[in-house]
Amino acid sequence: MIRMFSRTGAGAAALAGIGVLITAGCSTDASSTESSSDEGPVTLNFAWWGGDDRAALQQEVIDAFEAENPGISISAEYSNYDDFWTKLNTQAAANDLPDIFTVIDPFMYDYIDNGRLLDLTTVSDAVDLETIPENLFSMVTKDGAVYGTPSGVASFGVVADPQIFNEAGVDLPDGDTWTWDDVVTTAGAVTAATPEVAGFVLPTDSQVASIWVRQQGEDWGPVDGSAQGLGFTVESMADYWSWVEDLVASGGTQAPDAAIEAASAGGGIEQSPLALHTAAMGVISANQLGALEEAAGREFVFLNWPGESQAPELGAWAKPGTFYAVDATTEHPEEAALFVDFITNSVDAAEVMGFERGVQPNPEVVEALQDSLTPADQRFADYITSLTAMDLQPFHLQDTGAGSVQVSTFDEVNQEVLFGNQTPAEAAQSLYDQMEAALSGS
Amino acid sequence: MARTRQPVSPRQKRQERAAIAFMLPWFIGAVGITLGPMVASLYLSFTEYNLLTAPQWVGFDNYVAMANDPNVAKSLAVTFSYVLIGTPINLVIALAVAMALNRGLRGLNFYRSVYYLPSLLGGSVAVGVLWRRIFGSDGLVNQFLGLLGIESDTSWVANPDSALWTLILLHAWTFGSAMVIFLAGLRQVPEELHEAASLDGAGATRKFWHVTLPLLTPILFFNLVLGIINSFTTFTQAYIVSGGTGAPAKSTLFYALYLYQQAFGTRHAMGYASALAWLLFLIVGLLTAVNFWASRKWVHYAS
Amino acid sequence: MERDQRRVESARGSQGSARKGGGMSVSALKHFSLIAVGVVMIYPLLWMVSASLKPETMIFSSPSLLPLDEDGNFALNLDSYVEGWTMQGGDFGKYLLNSFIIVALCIIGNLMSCTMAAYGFSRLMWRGRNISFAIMMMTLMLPGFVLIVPQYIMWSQLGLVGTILPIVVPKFVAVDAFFVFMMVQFFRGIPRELDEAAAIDGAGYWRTFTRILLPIATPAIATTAIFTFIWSWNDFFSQLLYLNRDSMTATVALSNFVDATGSSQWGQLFAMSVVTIVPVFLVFLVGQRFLIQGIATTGLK
Repeated sequence: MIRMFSRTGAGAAALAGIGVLITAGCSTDASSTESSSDEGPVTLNFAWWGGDDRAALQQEVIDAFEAENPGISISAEYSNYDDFWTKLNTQAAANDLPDIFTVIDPFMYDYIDNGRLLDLTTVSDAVDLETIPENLFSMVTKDGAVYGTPSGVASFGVVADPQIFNEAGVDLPDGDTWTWDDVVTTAGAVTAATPEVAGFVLPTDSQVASIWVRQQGEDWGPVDGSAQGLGFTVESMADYWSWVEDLVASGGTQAPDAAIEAASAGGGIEQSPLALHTAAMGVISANQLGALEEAAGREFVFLNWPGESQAPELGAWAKPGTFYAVDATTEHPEEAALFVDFITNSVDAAEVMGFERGVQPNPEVVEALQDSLTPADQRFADYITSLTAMDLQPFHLQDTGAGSVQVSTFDEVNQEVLFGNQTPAEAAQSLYDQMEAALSGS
Repeated sequence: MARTRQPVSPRQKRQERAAIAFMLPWFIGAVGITLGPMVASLYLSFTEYNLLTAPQWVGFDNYVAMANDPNVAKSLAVTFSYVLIGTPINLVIALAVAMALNRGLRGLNFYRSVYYLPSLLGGSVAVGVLWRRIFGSDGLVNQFLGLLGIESDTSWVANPDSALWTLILLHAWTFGSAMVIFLAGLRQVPEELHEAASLDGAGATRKFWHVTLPLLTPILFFNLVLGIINSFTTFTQAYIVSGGTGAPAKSTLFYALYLYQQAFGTRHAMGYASALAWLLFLIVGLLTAVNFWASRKWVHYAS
Repeated sequence: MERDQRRVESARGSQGSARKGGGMSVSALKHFSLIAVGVVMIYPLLWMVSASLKPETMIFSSPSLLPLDEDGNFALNLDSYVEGWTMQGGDFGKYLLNSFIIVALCIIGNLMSCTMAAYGFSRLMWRGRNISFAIMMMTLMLPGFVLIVPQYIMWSQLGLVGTILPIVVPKFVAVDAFFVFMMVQFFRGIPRELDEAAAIDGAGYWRTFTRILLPIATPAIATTAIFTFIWSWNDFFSQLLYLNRDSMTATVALSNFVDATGSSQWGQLFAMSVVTIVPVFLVFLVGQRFLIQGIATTGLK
């Protein structure tokens, strides 16, 4: 077959293709097509993930920025989360990254590791990093360099539907004191009283497990610099899956197939059992409270994570849901930094965006927004504030190898438990082994 | 491949010149657009390449890693069952419907369009939602079973035992493209032959087996070869229905889906993905070669 | 001439069913089963149309196939269409137009380049033909995902990312091997005697190609045009990668209605999906007439 290629002269083309690939991968300075930034308007590309609602708000912010900075125009690109990363990765391979874009774990670890993001401390005259609590930078700080600004603080949380509890004649649990066993008994009681309703949505992703291991004083993800190895232990993970088995046994949750169906992509919060009134309690991304309440047509309440008052450590976490980052090879680092500063620190921008990407990281901005919040945003903010008021363990930059596959590997192993193919102990061992093999440098 | 020296007739020369003219666009496309990236991907399969930094030569590491990767075997198994079961079902339905919608009935234009509709939906986001309306735990299938007195709240799309079958059904349901090609092919079956056969007293079944089918073999062959290739590289439907995860419990982890996860997922291991692609290339190429070889025995060309 | 052909065919058709005897009841039975299966085929589209006409909150909570409002009364709610069409200040009509421009160019490109290549492969003898054919088949077998990045780098180096050229140009150089192979199979089903007769009459290759083969292959050409239309229309990946906000297509715009990380506009998604499918469906409705037209090969001279 090789012979055939060279015969037809395709060999030359192939070599050219490889050459292009290597040079594109190596060259660190993008070939400059525009004249330098001394004079004339500068155009910056800004790419983010999200739907049309977010895009409408984001465009308003861009317009406000352009009005303030007549010399800079921002060209917007957006797509949904998966497509965003596919496109960004492809652009990265061609040295064609947008000037400014949103990033998040686990994808961003590799971007940081390979030097594709601009160290914002080099442009600190244009972007003010002092306005934001330092611990919010913990995930994007490496060797003193800062690779992004947080867009907002978010978290996951347990919500309950008071109306369903009312109908079932079951008391709403006390979020300050409830235990993991309380979840099981409460969920069972709700379903026993109202058979059509699942007491607690069966967790199909890793959110609850991450809380569980943190309560044991462990870390969910493998911390960068793999000397420390994995964050979690086999024992804690096995205990978690035993709890899941208890929950299933109580009858107070969905069948595994129904739960996976409800959680599968394209699902969205609008099709979740909580929105359809077929579940009394469940875990949501806290900034989706507004969307959930709109879809369900009723109010929900946040409960603290179960077990927090008994466990050795607090399991809850709050972390930025998105970072704004700048391409390391952008031709206009100062201008890009100005824009990042605007979307991070400007009250005008925050008034438009609200808490769309989480509670604004700059406390002064939050202060200025107090009066204009919607009720759902207010409760979301209260929940996040109550978390950050606690002495939570910070979230770290994670190991690039294992950190980038932990979530998807967990989901796969979790399904083996849910469908009864593996015992909790087997599953925990399997996850541990797979993660250990994935650690970078091993 | 030794070139035999033969005296070249003027007619042959003329034909060679014409061939160059007719094939020129294809030559440009092959050399300029297709082959370069193909060979580049072959090169990448011997590298570690995360898209963010230049590829590093690693020799056969990726191929060795594939042999030890349980997901490769798993996804090959899923894909083979899909190909072996799905492709024949798809082709038989497409041919049967094409025969039924060929001629001799009012309103055929309308029927053809309706039957093609599912193929129009193709890879749209809506398909994932629709499929759950049908095969979900409170979907149509369970409602229908309820009417028959069978209580079921199984989620057929999310149960590891049945999820792959729903995708095979989805495949069967989108037989429209193969049907259209069969319909076009049936146009090439001369009506006179049918009439001649009828005069000889041949029944409909006999006419189908002895007149229609032999003349349709080039098109049947085309649909078979492409059906197999496309089933092996099937991606969109699996991606949409499982959200790209291959869930539940990897039961819909198609090979192309796993390849995509490796190439553009959180690992973006393009070197490994390229190695995966070239393994599939070998498998499909081998099967296609067998297909072409076997075609000499059953495909009848007009010349 | 074509009209005559059709009349002859329809006459044959009715003759055919009459000859079987009891024509009426047989065709009634046929219609019945075709409609029954048709309902299964069309159900998802009905569901989608219905969902697009419901208020946003009723789409997933009400199982009814009839569009009902919150009180359970029949009502056609057009909000999703209005809001979807003017998504975030944009204009869905513009995206539809962009899709049409791309698709039209792709059809022209494929029809010209693929038929020519197929003629070269099926009717002409030239050195390297078999190897070239094998190479073409190989291009079908490598999963496209691993070609995306090298191809993107190539177009990016040429400075053409953001234009429609990376999507359209390949069609003019017969990169869609599917259609070349399909056309080859159709050409090979056409008796060679026809070409040879034309050659004896003094027709050159080009004339034989355009006057003999192409007219006979009308159904295959119609198939190519229809498939190119639908597949280029739905070709999400290259449109996502190569186009920007201004040149964006309807297919890419649709994907922005749904985002798992925020809120999704399901009603608008379904409404604009319906709007997007209508032109494709119409093209098929019109185009499929050509599938069954053309000069039937007589096989006999």
